[in-house]
Amino acid sequence: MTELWELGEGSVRDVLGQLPPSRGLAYTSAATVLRILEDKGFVESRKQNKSLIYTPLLAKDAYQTRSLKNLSQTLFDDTPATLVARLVDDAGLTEADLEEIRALVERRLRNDGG
Amino acid sequence: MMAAKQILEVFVNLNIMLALGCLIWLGLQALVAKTALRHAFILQLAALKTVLALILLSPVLAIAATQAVELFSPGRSLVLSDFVVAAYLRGEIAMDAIRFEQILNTRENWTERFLLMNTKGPAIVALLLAAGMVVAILRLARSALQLHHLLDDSYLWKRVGPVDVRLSDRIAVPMATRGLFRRHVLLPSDLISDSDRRRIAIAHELQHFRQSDLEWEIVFELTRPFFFWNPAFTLLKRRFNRLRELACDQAVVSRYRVAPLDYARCLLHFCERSVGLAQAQRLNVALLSAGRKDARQELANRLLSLKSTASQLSAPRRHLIALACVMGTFLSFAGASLEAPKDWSHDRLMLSTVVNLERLRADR
Repeated sequence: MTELWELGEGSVRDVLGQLPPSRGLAYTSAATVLRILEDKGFVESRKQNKSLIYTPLLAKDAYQTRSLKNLSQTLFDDTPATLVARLVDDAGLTEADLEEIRALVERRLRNDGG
Repeated sequence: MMAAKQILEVFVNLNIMLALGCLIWLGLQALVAKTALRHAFILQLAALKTVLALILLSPVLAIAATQAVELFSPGRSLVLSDFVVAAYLRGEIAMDAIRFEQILNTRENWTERFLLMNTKGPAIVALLLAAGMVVAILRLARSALQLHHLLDDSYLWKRVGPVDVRLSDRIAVPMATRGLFRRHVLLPSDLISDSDRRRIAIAHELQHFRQSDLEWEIVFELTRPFFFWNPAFTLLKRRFNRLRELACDQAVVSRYRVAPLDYARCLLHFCERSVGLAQAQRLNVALLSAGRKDARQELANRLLSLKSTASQLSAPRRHLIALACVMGTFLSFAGASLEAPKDWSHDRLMLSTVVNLERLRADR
């Protein structure tokens, strides 16, 4: 969004060009992000020479208020308890537990790798 | 009444077979732990699935065993109580005939008392079972609904064959699920700009599809309303979840050539995220800390077992076929032995006569 406000409007390639190369975002990923932002009503698009040009619909402060609302939603993990396979299940671990495990794993797996 | 009795008998037999299957599985695991196969999680998962499938099929297997014996050796019974009656009549069990018959008919008496519902005990048990079933069904429906909303609110990112890779703002940890026709990998939306972790997460979830883990998850949840009260069910489900993840990790690290340390770091990253979230929501940590030590050990074991992945990928099929044959035969005969005797055998008439004579003598 920041890049779009700076540009005023732009295609996926324009937005990618504004991003620092260290972000390492692929073209398809940037296109998906812009499509999602359009679905959410943050930007609109029009077709120009076979490519889509995106224009921000919200002012910066209005966007930030909505993003904050969005963030508070993500503070609650909505994954159901059953019918899914999650990558990890923490089952009540604490940050200290994880730190301990991290140290152990780094030591044991690094030794094994090298 | 007869239909209700038959349903109740199948229900009880299935629960007994589940307990028996669980004991066999624990024994098998104890044996495997002493061999080189202790880190062969893919093979162990396949073996557990074989055992579970045989348990679920045990009512059909029991009928097949009874029919087979009827065909090849007519007149011979597989029913356990028939063996016990024969042993009693041969004088191998020293017991009062009236008492012996009481013990022999315990299950039938209980079944009948349960179905008649004329005392408080069976009514309370039936009520508790029905309440548990309703809770399990409601929980399943809630999960399905939650999942439906979660998928509806997500954004399609890529479509690979029958799999949709989706992005969601409402989850912290990647996950896999399936609908009737399509399978879904759901990723937290910020993974879009983190290609290394995204690659590992997608590989992991796709492996779950390859292992048919989601189909098994559905089977577990559909059968939970009937087995929720059985500790064997909870124990087998816990073992299944553990093996499911260990086998998946092992396959991903071997198949996609991910460095075990990178893979472990990725898992820890998502653990940290979900722990951060959980702590923000948690009101009382003390209540939840009871299983913490186990969870800590479990996670450490999961990550450390990544180093023993070499040459465990291909599960030797002959082990599985042998296990399926032995377990299948055992469970079919065990299932057949639990069936109620079909009619009055010669031995049972003899026992009944002995009991009547003893009663007459006692009356005199």
